[in-house]
Amino acid sequence: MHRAGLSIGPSVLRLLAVAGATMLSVKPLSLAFGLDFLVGIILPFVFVRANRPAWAMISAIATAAPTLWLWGHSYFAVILLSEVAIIIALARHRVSMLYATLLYWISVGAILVFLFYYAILDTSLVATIAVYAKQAINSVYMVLLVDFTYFIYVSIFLSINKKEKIFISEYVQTAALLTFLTFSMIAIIVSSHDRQSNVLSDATAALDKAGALLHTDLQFHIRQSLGQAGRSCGSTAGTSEQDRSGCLLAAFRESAADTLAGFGAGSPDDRERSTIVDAIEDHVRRGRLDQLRDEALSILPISTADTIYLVPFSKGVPRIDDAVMGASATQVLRILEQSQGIGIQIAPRRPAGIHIQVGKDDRQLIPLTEQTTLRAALTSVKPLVRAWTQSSLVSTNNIESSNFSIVLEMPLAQQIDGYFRAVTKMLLAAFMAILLGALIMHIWMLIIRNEFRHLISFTRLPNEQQAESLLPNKILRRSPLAEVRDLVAGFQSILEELDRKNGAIDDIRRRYERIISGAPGVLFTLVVERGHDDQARIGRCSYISASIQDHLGYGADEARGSNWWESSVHLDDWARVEQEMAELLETGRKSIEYRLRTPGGGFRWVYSELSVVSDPDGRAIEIIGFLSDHEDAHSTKERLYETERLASLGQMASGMAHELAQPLNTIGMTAQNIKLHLEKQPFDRQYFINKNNRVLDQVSRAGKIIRNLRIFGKSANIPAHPISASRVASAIVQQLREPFDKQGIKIMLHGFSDEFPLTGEETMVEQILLNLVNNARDAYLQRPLEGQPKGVIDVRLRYSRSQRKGWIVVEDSAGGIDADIMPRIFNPFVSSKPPGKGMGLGLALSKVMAKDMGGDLKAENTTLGARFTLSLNAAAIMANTSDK
Amino acid sequence: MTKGLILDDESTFVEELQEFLSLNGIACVGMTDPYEAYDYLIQASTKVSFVVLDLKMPGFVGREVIQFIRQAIPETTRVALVSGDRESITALGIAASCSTQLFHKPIDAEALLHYLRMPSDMS
Repeated sequence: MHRAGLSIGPSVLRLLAVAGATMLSVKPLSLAFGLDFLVGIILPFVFVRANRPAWAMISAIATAAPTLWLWGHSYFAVILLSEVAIIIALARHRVSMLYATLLYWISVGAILVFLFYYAILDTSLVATIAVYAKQAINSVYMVLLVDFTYFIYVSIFLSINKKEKIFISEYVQTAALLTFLTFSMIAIIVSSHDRQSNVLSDATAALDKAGALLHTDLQFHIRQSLGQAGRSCGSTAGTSEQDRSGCLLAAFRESAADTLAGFGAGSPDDRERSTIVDAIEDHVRRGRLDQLRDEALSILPISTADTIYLVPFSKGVPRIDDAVMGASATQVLRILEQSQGIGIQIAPRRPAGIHIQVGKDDRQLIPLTEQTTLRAALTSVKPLVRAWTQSSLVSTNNIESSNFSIVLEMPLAQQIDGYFRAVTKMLLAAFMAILLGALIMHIWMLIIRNEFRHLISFTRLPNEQQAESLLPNKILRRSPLAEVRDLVAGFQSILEELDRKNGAIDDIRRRYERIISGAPGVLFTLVVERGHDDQARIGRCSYISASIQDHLGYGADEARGSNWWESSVHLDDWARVEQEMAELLETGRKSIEYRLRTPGGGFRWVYSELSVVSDPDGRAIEIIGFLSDHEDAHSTKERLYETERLASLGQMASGMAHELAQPLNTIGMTAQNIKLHLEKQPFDRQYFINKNNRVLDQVSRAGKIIRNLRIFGKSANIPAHPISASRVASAIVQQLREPFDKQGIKIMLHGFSDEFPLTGEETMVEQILLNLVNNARDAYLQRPLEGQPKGVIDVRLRYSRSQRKGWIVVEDSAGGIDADIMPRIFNPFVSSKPPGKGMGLGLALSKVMAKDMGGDLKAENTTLGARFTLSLNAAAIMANTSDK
Repeated sequence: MTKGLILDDESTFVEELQEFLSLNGIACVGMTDPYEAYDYLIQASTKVSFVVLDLKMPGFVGREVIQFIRQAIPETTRVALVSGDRESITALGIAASCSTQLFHKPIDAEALLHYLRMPSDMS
């Protein structure tokens, strides 16, 4: 039976054994004791381990209470409760439960056991030590059991807590399984070593006996009473058998009644008591003392386990003959009593062995060893008894001094011996189990520590040293389970640290939200989507700051909704905005100004800056935008534009006035002279013709100015004719070569060919080029300090097939354009030429003409002079030429 | 008679003004090149009582006009400045070292004549 149980594991078997022993005993006390042992020891430890000190105390009291009540002794309950209390107190100071238990049993536990059992209950020293050892080992074993269970629990907890990605569960599970198997293996090895004296059955039997030991206390009182009764009757010398019986009866009745009354609850009730007394009376009346004895013995159960006092109370000598030898204690008693009529006493609180007392002082102890048998004991006693009966001490008058007692305690001694052996084996098993378990845990810890480091590096705690300190780094300095506990605590610290970190991140997030919401505009992001063709497109709005409510009056959710923006842009601005947005992905950055519908239905000018965010490969992934109400700024801008326009207009008017003042001045003077001439001179026909021609010339001059101005009024749609730039350029060179040569200025043509036709209007291009070349010439001539001005005007043709454009570049080295004029160079009536040499319309007209042809005219300064670039579109007929 | 100088790049205007002044009995020399006029004025033999000066001529603007007046025109000479723009003499920074008056184009011929005929102590 035990062997089968052993394969399950020592703890289970042990519990089964205790439970079995308990169930076999129908005594309430034994049952209570067994239950107390079963749960009263385990539960408090479980609660201590779970850090529930109050529950630990409550469970300890609750399970100990029935035993306490039935037993009538608070000793063991006191020991148990004090143990639990001290372990709880030490656990609070992070002392491991195992160490706390050991500490308790070395100090307080030892003191209490010896106080109660040895001093108060007068238990033998060996039995006390046995009780002490049993309790201490039991506690330690329970702690290990609970710790082991907790260890398994922690392992499972850590392994199933996958979402935290903490430990590799395989390690934990393997370690747990190995530990469990090791415990079982050790138990099997130790137990099978000595099958005859099974460790656990011995221990269980010993445990039972320890309880029975105290039970015997009650029996002792009864036996003593009977002994006293016998003694009092026996003291009446010379009385007849009948008288003696009557006396005995009376004394016995009295004594028994007293004793039985003293039982209290759980004793035979009054009816039973009277029945017993009646039976005794009957026996005594009929002189059947032997039957009386039997009756007494049946009422008061006695077993071979009991210690026996033999007390003669008549002058008759107990006859111990050979027939007695080898009999049981009960038989011996009966024989002795039948022949001599002696009483009995049972006393458990004596040292093991046979106590022999003759008279008052003559005491002798024959110590019992394992080899001592009853036969041997009685044989050694027999000469003493013989000597005693023949001595003068034995007389009816000296009954007190003739007392003779024998005490046997052999069975208990045997128990103790067996118990010790069992305890020793258990101790060995426990020691080995702890050692091996510790070793496995050590390895397991190393693995977990490694995992912990991974965790630390994974979580990237701010202070790595601090994180390192969270590791339980002194393995096995304390109990392995304490280390596990520390590990869990460390793990929790890391989680808290992560929480703090998350808190910090939350703070940062809140701060950014504050910044964004407090920004003087609305921030938003747009998703860049990619279709199957991998073509990037601007998609939905992925974020828009809540500040849109303050700036534009829309809720953020509303603004994030589909089509909100598209439906809110002013229709007149839509085409332009759409165009700009389409270009955004290419340019990477855009600023757009447009009107946006307000919730009230009106429109406000908004200003939007957009920039593309790209991944490291340069692929656009997102667009970040900033939108602000631009209504006020727009008004200001409008005003500014108006002012500029007026200023420009003023400048133009001023220039125009100047230009028109010249002919008018001459006309005025001429008219004045005609008047004077008419007054003072004789009529001269030719004079008037001349004057009239002069006036007409001046009127023509003024008219030309006005005609030129009209070109600014509206743009002409010039049909895109293919033109030959080289022909135009050549014509200009032919026309100007001679006059320019005289002035020491050369025109150089570069790169002109007919391979690349441009579009435009030939006369216009000619006029523009003439203008530019003349301007360059004037610039050279305008440098008086150079003496005879000399210079080269380079006219260059460049074109790009890919851009479908061509450029005619006119470049001089005449010092360039003044910085203050440069921004207004294409404005009408702006001229760098001396007064009278230019109206300031040439470049302005050229620009307008260039634009009319779909091209443009731009000016810039080079290091030596000015460069004007006329750009024109390429003609549809594309020659096979590359960029040049 | 009073001898004067007209300097303007508009030759037709110079001719007409010359004619106008001569019809009013004022003889004067007309020129269109400031350098030529400069040379003429600083000649020791030349003595002019007035100068009609166009403020805007090729290579002859701003500070150069002032230099021209200071260096070439004697302090006693009366100067009629002719401008096509809305300029003032003070804006040009011409020191009142000599008698000057600004005339805007188109010129009021009578006013000019009046100015040139004024007795020198009234200027």
